[in-house]
Amino acid sequence: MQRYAFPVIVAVVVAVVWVFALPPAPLAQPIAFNHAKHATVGCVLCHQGAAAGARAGIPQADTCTRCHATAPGRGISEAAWTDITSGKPIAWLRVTRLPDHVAFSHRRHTGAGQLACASCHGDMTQRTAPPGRAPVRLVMDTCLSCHKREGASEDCAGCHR
Amino acid sequence: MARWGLVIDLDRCTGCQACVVACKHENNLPFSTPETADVGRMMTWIGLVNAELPGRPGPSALPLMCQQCDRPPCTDVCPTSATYLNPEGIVAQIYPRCIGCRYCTNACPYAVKIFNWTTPEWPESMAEMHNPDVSQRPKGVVEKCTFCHHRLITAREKARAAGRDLAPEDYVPACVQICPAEAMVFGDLSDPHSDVAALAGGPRAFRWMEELGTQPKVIYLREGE
Repeated sequence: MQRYAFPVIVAVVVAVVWVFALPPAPLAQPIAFNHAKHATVGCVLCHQGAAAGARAGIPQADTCTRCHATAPGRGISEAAWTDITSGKPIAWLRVTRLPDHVAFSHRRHTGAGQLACASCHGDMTQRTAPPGRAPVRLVMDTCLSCHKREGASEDCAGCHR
Repeated sequence: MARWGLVIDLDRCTGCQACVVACKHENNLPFSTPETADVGRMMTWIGLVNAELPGRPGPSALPLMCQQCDRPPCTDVCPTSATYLNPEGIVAQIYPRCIGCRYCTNACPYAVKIFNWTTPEWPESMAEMHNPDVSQRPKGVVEKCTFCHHRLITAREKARAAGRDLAPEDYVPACVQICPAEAMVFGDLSDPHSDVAALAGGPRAFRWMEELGTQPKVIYLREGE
């Protein structure tokens, strides 16, 4: 019996680690927004802070109603459209997060750095469903490799606050 | 490359401590209570100390914050390089890299590096009042004055977006901005035309504990005759 103990323990440990190492289930966004269909208008029309602010921003209904006078045919029900256009906030779920100690500004990267949105967010113009998880995994190496390549500042205090 | 420095005129300083309040508010420092003061764990990055100055009958109030030394004793002892002298002369502290060993707090002769003993807490009504440009440091790391480095980052970005160079008035730390007596002057010491460079080279200028050879970039002006 004892000779099986070690392999069993190893198997259990591997199984537990395996389960915890799996990426979390994708988040279900409140509206089945189709990025591919909207790609021609550009990212900044809806994510207004991407060019001019620190945060890109996630649009609310007032952004939709600038183009859509009535409920779009697909992706959202009439009832949900009435809800959000009458002032109920759209409960988008955040998929890209930066730790509190990172000072990131979109304007610095899209303006001075002349980076395309896709460099960090992946090509959203091909996506027909809203992202349930971050399209690209952003870690400090992602930032630093680009900073090194482009000759941007590598001073720790330049990004960490 | 700029070398940021601060001049404090002790002749003008009234000891009102507006700088202390402004610093706490700007840098998301939690309130200190009588209890935390009793055990010597007040969270302040700048404070008034009693200083015996030559030619003065009694002790003078001297606003003391990180002296942003050119030869900082704290950076030499940091085992993780969490604290270092950045290219513009600011002694930076990278909080996620800090392991809280407190070597730097012991090495600093000015005792201006503060260890975070507790998770910072604020009244619920202040939840929306934090400065979003500054992180809330967790328990177990060492904190310090950074000359409001986040303001430099923001100012530089704004200037660049407007297509111009950084102007001297674009970047001042919160303590300098608030000082009602205008006792504090901030600027680039490497610019010979700056006010700080002129004052730092004047006859009233001295550095606190300069005999230690730390070469601070906070310069005090002796009270005049």
